[in-house]
Amino acid sequence: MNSTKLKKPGLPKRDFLGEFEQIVLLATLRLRDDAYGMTIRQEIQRCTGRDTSVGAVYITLDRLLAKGYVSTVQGEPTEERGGRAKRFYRVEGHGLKALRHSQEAMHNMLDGLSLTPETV
Amino acid sequence: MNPKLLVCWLFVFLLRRQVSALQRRAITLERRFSTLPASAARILADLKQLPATQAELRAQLNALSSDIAATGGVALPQYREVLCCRAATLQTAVAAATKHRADVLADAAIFQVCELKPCAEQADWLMEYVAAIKQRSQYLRLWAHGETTAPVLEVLLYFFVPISHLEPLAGDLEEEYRTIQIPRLGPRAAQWWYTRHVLKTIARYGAWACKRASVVVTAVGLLRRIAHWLRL
Repeated sequence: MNSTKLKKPGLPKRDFLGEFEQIVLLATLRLRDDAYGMTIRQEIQRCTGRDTSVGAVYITLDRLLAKGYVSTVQGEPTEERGGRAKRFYRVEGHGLKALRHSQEAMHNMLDGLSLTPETV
Repeated sequence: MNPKLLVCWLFVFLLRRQVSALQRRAITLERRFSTLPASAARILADLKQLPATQAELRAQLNALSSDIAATGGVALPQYREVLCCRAATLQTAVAAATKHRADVLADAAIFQVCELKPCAEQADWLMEYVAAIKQRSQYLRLWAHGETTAPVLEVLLYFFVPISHLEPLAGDLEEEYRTIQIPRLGPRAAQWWYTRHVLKTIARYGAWACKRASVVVTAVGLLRRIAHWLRL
């Protein structure tokens, strides 16, 4: 059999974001300058109804940080946190690009489909 | 018996075990470090010798070139034969020197990648671990003296959450517990909320750690740990 490699049309090969990574990035974007673990978790809960653990948020943020999609800034320690400092997160240009790319891929997949029971 | 005292005792025991494991690793690392200077000295000597060999070869080449030039292209056949013989010898010497140089450079690279770098990485890891244990013991002391007001389960976070995430994560949980959940749910339900989130977080980190390490490594580690405990 002739095994010629077909070039896939459309989007170039890039790093795709997982579903939860997209949610965390979007929550961080929505919160702007007030994005840290607790607020991100609450924003996710408010928008999606998912009661995620703060651990899951930190693990995902750590992964995004390693990929260079977000950056962090250490905040001041406060009384209500038992004297512990906050860690603020900010979405970087690469993160925005990856998010846009993942959204485009999702739109392309949905293109021409109507998600109604009749389609199935 | 005071439950707080019991928890403290248990975690001090765990910390002591971590410290002794760390000491064993430090001894192994010290042994590895002790072999490094000899290898490094040998490689350095070889590296230092390289320019001398190169200079010597260059001198021989210059001498040969001047001898060839001195003949003025009208050399006798026997003299030409001697020159060719010298040129061939020099060529062999250059080839040998090039091979030796490549070997020395490869040795140096192998030494750096396989011996020096792993030792340095392990030393960094040990330092990080020591810092983590120090921080955990500080948190435990604060908790034992009642200087943190979050519920008892907080202490679990100190042992199961990586030290790089510990401060912001424990702070976030405490902030939400105090400022949102207690006014919203009341102290008792808020405590249940806190417990649930601590357990969920620990489970999440456990799954993360298992995912990162391969299944075999985890299984071997567990078996070794069980064997170690049984021996005790």
